Amino acid sequence: MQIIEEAATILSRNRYLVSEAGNASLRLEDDSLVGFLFVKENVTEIISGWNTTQTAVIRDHAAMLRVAPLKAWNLYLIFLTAAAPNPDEKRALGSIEEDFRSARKIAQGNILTTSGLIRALYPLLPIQNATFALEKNDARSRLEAQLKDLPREAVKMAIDGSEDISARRFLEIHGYKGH
Amino acid sequence: MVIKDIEIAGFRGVRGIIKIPFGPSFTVITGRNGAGKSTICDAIEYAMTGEISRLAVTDPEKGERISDYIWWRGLGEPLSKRVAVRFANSGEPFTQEATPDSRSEVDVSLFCAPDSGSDPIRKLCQTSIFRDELISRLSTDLSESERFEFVKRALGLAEFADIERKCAALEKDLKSTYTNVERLYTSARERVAAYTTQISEARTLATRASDVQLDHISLAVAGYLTVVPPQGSLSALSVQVRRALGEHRNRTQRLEILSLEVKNSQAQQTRRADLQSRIDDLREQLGKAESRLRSAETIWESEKRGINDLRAESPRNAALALLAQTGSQLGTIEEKCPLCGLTISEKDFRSHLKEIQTAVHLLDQRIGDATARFTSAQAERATATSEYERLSSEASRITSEIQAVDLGLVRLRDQAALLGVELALEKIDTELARSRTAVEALDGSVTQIDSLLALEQITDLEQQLSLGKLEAEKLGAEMDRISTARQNAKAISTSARRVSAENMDERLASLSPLLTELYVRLRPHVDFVDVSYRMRGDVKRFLSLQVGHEEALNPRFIFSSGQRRALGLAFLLAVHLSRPWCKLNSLILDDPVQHVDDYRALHLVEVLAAIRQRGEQIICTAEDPDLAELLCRRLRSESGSEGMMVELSYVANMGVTVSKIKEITPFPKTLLMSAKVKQERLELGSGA
Repeated sequence: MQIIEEAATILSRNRYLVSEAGNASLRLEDDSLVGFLFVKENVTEIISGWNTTQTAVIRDHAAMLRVAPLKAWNLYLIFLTAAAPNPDEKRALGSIEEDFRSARKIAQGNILTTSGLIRALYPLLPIQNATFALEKNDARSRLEAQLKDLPREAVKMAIDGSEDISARRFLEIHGYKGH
Repeated sequence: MVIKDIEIAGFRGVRGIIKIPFGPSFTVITGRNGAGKSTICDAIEYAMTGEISRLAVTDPEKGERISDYIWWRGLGEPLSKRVAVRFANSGEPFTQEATPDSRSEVDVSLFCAPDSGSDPIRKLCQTSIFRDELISRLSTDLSESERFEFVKRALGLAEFADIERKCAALEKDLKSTYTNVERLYTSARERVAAYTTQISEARTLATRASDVQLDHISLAVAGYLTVVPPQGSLSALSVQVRRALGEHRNRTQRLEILSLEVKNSQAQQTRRADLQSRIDDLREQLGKAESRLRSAETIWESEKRGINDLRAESPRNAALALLAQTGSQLGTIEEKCPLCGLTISEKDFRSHLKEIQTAVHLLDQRIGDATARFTSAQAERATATSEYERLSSEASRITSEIQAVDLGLVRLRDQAALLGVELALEKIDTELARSRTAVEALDGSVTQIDSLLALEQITDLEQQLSLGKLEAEKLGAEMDRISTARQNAKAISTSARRVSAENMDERLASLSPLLTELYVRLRPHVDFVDVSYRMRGDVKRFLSLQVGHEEALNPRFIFSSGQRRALGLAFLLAVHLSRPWCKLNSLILDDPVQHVDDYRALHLVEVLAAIRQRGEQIICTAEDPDLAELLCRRLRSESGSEGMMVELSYVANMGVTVSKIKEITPFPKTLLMSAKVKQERLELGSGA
């Protein structure tokens, strides 16, 4: 997987303006935030270079950031690598993310799949898995199908509304005349 | 649909009137502790449900209830008491309003889809308004079964539980109806059996009535009836004949007894004559015995007196005997009596002594004779008395016996008089024979009448039997129908339970990636990077959350309170985002980041931004002004759909007031990109 290309696709699909920024990096922007995504060869590059990169980005885009200082607060720097971090490196990546100075950082390793990439980009993306959870509930039609051999009106009485079923009416549906 | 604005007056900490507009995209409400942030959420919930769930207590404290604290309780009177929440949807905005006296009825169809199950508005509030204090309580701290029910209701699957409940109630009613109809059926069948028996008996009787004529019967019994029935009426004749038969049977029985008693009384009469003869003898003997007794008593009295007189002489006689004996021993002393000194010769003295001794002897002899006579008279008197008493007793017994015989005769006479016969055996027996003849005649007539009646009854009974059979058949068919209805109710209930379980499994399976995504986004724990659920149980179902791939640990027991809150938020937000039935597009959070560190607070803000990107309205309170600012910055504010920041404060004697309302202006859309274009143009220009 080419992380840069895949990230550009994912971000564009989620209404980000995305452009290449050279050196395996992307610019990205939407209504509320701006950001830069960098793909590194290994975890060490991220750990050793993130601070320099942050300084450079702020320096290079200072004029732009001054135009909209509030939006500039929502500056995201994303450092990704396909290389897997060892436990020490994992802690170091965590520390980068917990450093709130100047910009919000996302530092993740082991990005090998699209789902892994999406997971790394979650802080930037809308909720991804809500659509299926909201799919139309077909339980009622399934229940009706299971009960298709029963008198239609009796089934309707039982599954419609929350009012108690009239035993009298239910019996009448079954041909009961009453005594 | 989203919340457009709210007006609060005299509610909770608000004494005056405050009006807060909500941004269609988001509203951040900030303020210090007690500034009234939670009151806004309370007001929304109260206008919708008439309750404030976060303050619900099971046991009233000192008799006080939360309802006592809904409206302003501070110093001074409020201007008014009212909560009005205005909602904006595609049509005209509408208001949901509550006052201490009333609450506008909620039009459920505006907020919820038709198949949203029971109590949808409370469910909507429970899954739309998340309070700091309820986040853990409604998620990680719920028991497994409570969590299952919560998710089931929230996902809109509870209506199947309603079906099960309705079918269970229906089954109870149907069972009761079946029992009633079964009882009627049994009763109808018993009647059929009874009619069948009666018809069989009537037919047997009717065979005897082949040549019987009503007129003949009337004629045969005419002489025995006290009341003459109307001519041609079989039933009236039957009544009279049965009455006459009863009377004659009774008379016959009494005559039989009288006859027997009269026969017995004849022997009694003979005995009475013997007794009379005996009593006459006894009376004669008794007269004699009385005379003998009187004579014996007279003699005995006389002897008694005689002997008493003689016994009176006895001491003197004894003294004389002693004197004579002493004189005899002494003899005269010097020609003088030694006893009295009189001069007397020895010879005369001895002669006198002899006379005295003779007199003493004679008196003793007389006493002996008298004693013998008295003894004899006494014996005679006792014998006479005994004989008299014996005869007197015998006479008394026989007299009683004669009286008893006489009384028996009187009673028989009375009985004979009652039966109207003379007290003579031959007369009684003649009457008895006549009575027996009547009984025989009437009894025969009864049989004939019964035969005729049976003939008449058979048609009626056959009709009754036919109706009874029809009734039983009808009831049997009704029982079959009720059985079918019961089976169908059970089938519906069983299918509902099965489909509900299948649906729940599927819905949870679809909810799982969302829960995982929110958990990953909120990152409660460094090591446990994933969360999953496990469902178990058939009748009562359980839903547990677990972390860790291999160990499947319960986060409730290994997470800190802050981590539990983050997991709880992931759970509640997953539920919130999975409500296909809900039309309200607002998420309301009441200070959700208490006890959460800055790093995880940032994650939450990013999650809210991600939810916001789906077009959902976010209303969030935050005590921390920096966090409020971060929320305003990070949540998406768009042209025409601006966000809002509201600052609240509490002023002494005035209560909650709105300090500031600020509209959050959208950011420039293409800050970075426009700079990039400019840069590229510059580069192009320098190149040229």
